[in-house]
Amino acid sequence: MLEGLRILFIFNFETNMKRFIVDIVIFSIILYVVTLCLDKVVSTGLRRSETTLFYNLTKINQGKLNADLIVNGSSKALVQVDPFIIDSILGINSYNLALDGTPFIPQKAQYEFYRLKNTKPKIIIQIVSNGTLRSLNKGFKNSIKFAPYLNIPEVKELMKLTGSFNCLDYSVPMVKYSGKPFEIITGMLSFLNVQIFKVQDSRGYFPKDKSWPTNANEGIESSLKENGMTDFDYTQLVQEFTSSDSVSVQNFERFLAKCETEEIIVFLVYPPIHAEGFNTILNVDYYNRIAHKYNACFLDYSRDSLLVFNKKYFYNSQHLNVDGATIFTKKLAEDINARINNDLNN
Amino acid sequence: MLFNSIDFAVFLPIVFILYWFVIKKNLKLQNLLIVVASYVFYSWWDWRFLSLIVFSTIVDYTVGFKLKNEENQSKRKLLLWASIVVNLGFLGVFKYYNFFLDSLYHVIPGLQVVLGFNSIEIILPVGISFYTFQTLSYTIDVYKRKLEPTSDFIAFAAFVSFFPQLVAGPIERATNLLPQFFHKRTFNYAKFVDGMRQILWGLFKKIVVADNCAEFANQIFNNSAEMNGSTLIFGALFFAFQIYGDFSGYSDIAIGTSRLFGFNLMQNFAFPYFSRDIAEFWRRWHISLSTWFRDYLYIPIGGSRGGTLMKVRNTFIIFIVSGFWHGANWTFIIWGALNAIFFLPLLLTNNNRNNLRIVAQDRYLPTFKESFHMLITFALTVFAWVFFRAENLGHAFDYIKGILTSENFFNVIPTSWGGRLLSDFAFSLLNIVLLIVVEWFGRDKQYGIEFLFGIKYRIVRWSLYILLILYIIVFAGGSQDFIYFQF
Repeated sequence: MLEGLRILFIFNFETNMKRFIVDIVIFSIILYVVTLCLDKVVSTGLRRSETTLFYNLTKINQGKLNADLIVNGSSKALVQVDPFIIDSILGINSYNLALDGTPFIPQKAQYEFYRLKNTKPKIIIQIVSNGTLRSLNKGFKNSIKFAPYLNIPEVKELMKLTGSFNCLDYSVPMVKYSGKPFEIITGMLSFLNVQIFKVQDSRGYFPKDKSWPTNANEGIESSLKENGMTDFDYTQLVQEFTSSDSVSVQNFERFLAKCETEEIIVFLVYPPIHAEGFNTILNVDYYNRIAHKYNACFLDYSRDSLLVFNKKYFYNSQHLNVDGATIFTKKLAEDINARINNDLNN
Repeated sequence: MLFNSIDFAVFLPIVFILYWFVIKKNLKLQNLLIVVASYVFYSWWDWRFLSLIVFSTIVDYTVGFKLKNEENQSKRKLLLWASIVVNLGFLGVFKYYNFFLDSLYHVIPGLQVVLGFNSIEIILPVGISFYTFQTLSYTIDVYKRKLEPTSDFIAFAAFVSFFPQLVAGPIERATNLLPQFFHKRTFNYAKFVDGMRQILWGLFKKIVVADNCAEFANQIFNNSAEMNGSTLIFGALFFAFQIYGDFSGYSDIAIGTSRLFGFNLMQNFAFPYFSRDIAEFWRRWHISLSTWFRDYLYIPIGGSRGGTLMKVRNTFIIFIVSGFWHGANWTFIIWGALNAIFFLPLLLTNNNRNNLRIVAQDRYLPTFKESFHMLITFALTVFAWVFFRAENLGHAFDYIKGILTSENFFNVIPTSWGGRLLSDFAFSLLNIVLLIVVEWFGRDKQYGIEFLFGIKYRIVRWSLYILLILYIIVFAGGSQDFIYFQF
């Protein structure tokens, strides 16, 4: 039978066809090797990159963080939780691993990666809100930052749940970087040890020195425009952000269960939401219940009267500005400190 | 199924292998495979509308067959009209029903109450304007006895549905394409490589140029009220290159794919943005449609014969019908009328056939005069594109008003654009420059990189192909539908 196939597919061809088959095979091999090499160069470079986008994952990969306390979350963690204040109050070494614009699964992927390369943290502050458990089938913002790490099984498995990468991204070299010239150039330069747009080490904290705009949605709207989204529909956006997803919920609970097993103290923290955004506060009961189930602690600041009625601490209803963030982090750190001391005393 | 999709990347090699390696010796089977593959290709989008293609095929095959033995002129005419009514009837219902109804109600208020019809949600079957015109060319040519009707139904069905050009052209003439289904195809290495090269260039134009330009054209047109004058000009420029990259890229992929199966399709774009006047532009832009209208509409109604008034009338008819072919919207009609206005002075002064040869032939660079003429022609074309792209006439006029009355005219980059959009903007301009440079050097050929064939050393040629593939991967834009699918 094999002989038959050989006759059918090779020896029965005209010279023209043989030449074509040989050429196409050689060309494909050369193309594959070239793209594979380029992929290696870009990925290696991006794993060293210190631009805002790649900095945290680079440090994680280098195993240089080894923090006692890490902060997980989305933009609500990124702009609101200051590790320097936490350190000064708790006397430990903390780091903010927030991923802007992401729900829980990418945060978990980053955490799993962190655990592979760094020592176990003692405390985790997990910032939660209405969008934490949202569905992710359309991918997430800046997912390209995970592209250099898709060869790591823990990252790959979780990325598959996000819809950010397709089967070609995992299997064909360079496809995952397709249409990202800026990242490719950054990676190539970084491979040659040339760092462009190097970010200052702020331990993952990026406060916003902004005040409340005239239009409450303006903050989100301008952020969408920056990302090239023009068809702005706030209602749809809110709906998309608030719908809970069973896969996310499952992963969230697995994360809490694992932390419990590993004796990591977890604080689920719902940050302050301005009074105008009270209707967007969701899942509080769930977070409370789930914290109780997994021996974690739920701290709810969503309606905290110290901040939520004063617009001078916010730049939109969902996010504190730098002044609000300073007050909030201080209060959070003090509360955590009190809880830990209380637990020790008991 | 889109040419730039994974589905097509799987579909094409399967059909190719079956076609050349399994049933290569049997012409009838090859044609049957083309029909089956084409129907699968079309059904990937929506299988329900396949029935329209099958019905058109049966009607035109039958009409052609009956015309063969019919000598009675009035009966021949009746058969021709049957084909025209069926084909244009489908087009009318699916594409123009709502437009005519809404326009009628607008002109005669109260008619809606009397008639009781309302506009309905109609899905436009993809490619209907293309295959309808292609199959019409068959019956018209058979009627005019320019073409012998075929009795081979499979070959005819393959001609109507030939998947590389089924949904967005080139609109082939029966006289060119149909006979190719009757000749034995032999595997030709050079033709195959040429096809692959043209596909590669088409992918560059679509994925890199058009899709990146689309991002900014959409952004600027959708928010035109907030943009400054110079940004609006860039928006129109980006759209000009989006539509060129998108449509000519599609044509290149279609022509290249046809070559892989041993077919030659007509050239659809001949570097139109290097035209020195509008007449030349229309000889180089969407050639298959322009020549279709010329042969089956313009010449039958008198063409450029007759008095001045007749010439003006015919010119307006052909350009307005051409605009209307694109879609049921006044913007397309005005776009057509504008091109008629640009074209008329050339026709009336007998200067419409001044530039028949390519610009700067046997020279590397154009003269100052040629450059100036190209620039003016391009500017007129871009101006007309504003109407083509706008949502409605009000939007088009506001867009143009925005260019002329903007306060911060020179402030190209809107303040809302972040750093990332800025770098993408620069990359998009870089891609346009690359397209212009490559096409300039390939302007005497059928497509931009055909000249690579002349490079003696294979290693250099292959290196350039690999570089181009890498460039496409690196600079790929966000995947956008082909614009001409909506027509």
